[in-house]
Amino acid sequence: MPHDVGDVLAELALLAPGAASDGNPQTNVAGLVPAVSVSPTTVSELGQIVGWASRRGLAMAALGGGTKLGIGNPPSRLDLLLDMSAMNSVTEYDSADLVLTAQAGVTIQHLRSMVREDSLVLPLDPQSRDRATIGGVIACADHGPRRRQYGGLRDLVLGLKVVLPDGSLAGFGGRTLKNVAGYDVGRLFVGSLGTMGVIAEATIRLLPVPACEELLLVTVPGLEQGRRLVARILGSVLIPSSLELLSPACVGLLGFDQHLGSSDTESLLLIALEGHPAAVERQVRDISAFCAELDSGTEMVESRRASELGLPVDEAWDTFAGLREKALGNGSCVGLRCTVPLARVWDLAAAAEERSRASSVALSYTMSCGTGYLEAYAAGSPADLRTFAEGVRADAEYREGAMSVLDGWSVLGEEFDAWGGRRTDFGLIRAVKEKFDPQGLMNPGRYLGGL
Amino acid sequence: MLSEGLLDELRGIVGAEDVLWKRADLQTYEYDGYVERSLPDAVVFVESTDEVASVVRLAHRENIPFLPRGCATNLTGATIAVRGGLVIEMARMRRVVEIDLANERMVVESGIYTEEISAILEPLGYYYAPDPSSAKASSIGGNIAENAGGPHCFKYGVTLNHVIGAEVVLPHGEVVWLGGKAVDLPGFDLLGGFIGSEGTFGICTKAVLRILRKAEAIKTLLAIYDSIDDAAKTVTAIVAAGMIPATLEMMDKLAIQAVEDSQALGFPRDAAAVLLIELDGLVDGLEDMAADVLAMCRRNNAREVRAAGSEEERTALWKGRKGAVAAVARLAPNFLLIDGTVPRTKLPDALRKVYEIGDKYDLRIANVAHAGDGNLHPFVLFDSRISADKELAMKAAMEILAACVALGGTITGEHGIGIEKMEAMSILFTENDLRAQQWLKEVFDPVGLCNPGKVLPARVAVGGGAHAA
Repeated sequence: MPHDVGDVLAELALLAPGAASDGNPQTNVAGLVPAVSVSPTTVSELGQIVGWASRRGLAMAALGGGTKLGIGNPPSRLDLLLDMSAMNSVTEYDSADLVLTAQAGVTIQHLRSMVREDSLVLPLDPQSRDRATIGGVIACADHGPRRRQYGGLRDLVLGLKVVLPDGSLAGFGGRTLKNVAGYDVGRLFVGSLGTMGVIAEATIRLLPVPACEELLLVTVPGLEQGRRLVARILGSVLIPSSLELLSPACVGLLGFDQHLGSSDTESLLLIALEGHPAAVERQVRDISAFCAELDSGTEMVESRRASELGLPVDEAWDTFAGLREKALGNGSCVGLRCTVPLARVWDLAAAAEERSRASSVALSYTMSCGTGYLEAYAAGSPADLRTFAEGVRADAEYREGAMSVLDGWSVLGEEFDAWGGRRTDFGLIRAVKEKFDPQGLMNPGRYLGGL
Repeated sequence: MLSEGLLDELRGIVGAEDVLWKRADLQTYEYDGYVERSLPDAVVFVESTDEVASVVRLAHRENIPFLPRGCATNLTGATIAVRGGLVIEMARMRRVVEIDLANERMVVESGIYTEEISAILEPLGYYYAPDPSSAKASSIGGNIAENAGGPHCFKYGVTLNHVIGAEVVLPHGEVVWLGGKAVDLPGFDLLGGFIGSEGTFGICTKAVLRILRKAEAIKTLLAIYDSIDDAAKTVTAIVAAGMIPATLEMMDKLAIQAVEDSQALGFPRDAAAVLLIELDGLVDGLEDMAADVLAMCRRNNAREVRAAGSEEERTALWKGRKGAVAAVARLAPNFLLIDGTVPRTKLPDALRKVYEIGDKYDLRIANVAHAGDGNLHPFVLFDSRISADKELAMKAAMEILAACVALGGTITGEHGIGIEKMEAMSILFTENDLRAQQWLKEVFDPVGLCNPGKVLPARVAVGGGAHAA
């Protein structure tokens, strides 16, 4: 910290009375404890604080629910933590227009419950949603399983209000589904990890609750059967809203095996179906038939409804949303997030399994088979984990994808870049950072190329 | 005027026949779907990314403005060379690079016609969702530049939601990829910023498209109303029932009359609104949903509802909507077509404002609207031979846009800013908003040669921001 903490606190007390405190070691970012933490309550207060900190030359990071602090590289500096938890009000909500505007610190769970009362859905199912905030989810582009059907954050965010690094407020997009007025700077804030400025408020698209929702749990003896089943579904006219595969270890971790009575070598495919009851029933029937086609007699591919297993649909997804926290709290030291063209996710999973065996790493993973995401949790010695992570990254990049670190960067070591190989657009990425944050004060060090 | 030496260099890159420079040849390229004109200095036909990059490097070296031109169907002057320079004609870059069904992707060169994409995919059972009304005559590169919409956005979204990678020649000639075949690659979503940048951030040469399986079944209904409010209430009822129709299109009285005059579809001339509703998905439950929608139309006082069973009947119901632009065009020598957008439930209020403004200026205004997403399309009719008439039309258009903003909406839902709405930007955005937009422009095009004089109002475009280099 280039300044005296007492001075900084005194100055902050004038800007935001009662909102500042000494840094709390428990809210560290990759081990780095901020000297001071402040909790603004309004957009304009946030703007004043950021503007002041910027003039002071303080390095800042915004904190939502603290569920994704492990993403990326560790910060190179952190003087001031902007705790967004007090910015937790819904600013504007019009159920008939299917849109809501909320301050960044509102939790996803709160928004989901609120709109559900009006028979609406916020089609975002990130992990740990009781704590994950709308601002944090946007900054980290953390969508969840239904990205296939409803799009990701880049598709669902209609407008953003942000505080730029100099403290000024800027708005992008709006409250309409269609809007092509001017340059859409807001898109760049999705997945920007707070490195261009601080997301203060977001306007999000909502959808009507479908007439019927069903969840199929399909036990899959091996990746090859899973690949064939999913290819059969995606090649058909069926419209599943998510196709989420859990590796055997994840099935056990979440306790789904107790419902299924499945063996510990089987993967589980969660298939969400939504729509008119007749359309949902048709899909249940067709998918069962697809499973029967694959059945070789010895290895069962079996599809069952959540209700048959005494498992309420919402409860199943709530359980799923606890996976990342459980996996990382269960001895896995490293979380990796991969994205590849969707059909290649199977090869990637097979390669990751092979590498985990070769480098004595305990691996559990989940895959969004309809979008091409693979999230891997790995435990082992630092050296083995490094070898494993480097291998998985090479596998993902070879398949025109990418791998980034969700958690556990410190285990992988100083030289390990959390984001991977630079692509041809890196020059533009650096130029954006330099243009928006010329002093390098916004979450410095954590983004691609150490930006 | 470009020097003979420079023209020779261009000929060296693309071939002698592929450089146009005579005034008579250039006149074809001085206009687009907007009302202004301006002559470029030369038009260059490119056939590959390398050629585009070479031409752009040359323009950059010589400090000559340039812009890409697809099919020039845009309505805002986005492809008019307001500062002269080079028009880079993309029409010959229209190959399909790859169809990758397993990954649900198609890679195309940017000059391909939008409609051709779905025609190619049709026998495979797939399609590309965004279908702006210009799809027959527009290119995918143009759709990307404008972030084109169309009548299916309520359910399927706009171009942004369906383009996940682009090869781009940056304004200094470097070739980069933004995004790719995989979704959400790490880093700022530069592609999200590029889409809709109206050809001012660089030239898209290839695009990776998300392609979808064709729906198993489609059900189309057309309802005729005596009041716009009743039509709007029907839309609200449908959405409240948990349905997400693929299409919710509305036409108002003047548009209905124009369509009836040109096609005689049997629409009552005194009807206030026609609503075209299309449901798609699995065949199971679809008839059921259609029956529900029909009941909702009736409950909301539709005086007549027509339903299509066969593909022929569907085409017939769409005929009025598809022919609306041409039909309205017959009503007056000229029209300004604007596309202010409001939150969906504000659509009736917005239309009331449109009529008020029409009355105030004594101008006829016909309306077509994407009712599902609050996207208006007022056709402000005028006669350009009467100079005062054009001015009044422009004034009325700006007032309509301001009214949309006042209702919580925006000045353009699909057509973009171009040169048409540059001054209207400040109705919507603050100085800070515009400064951040200017920064993004400077990141892509620091010298300001790529389709200059568009989008950002002049004082911002010239002045630059606090961090300007």
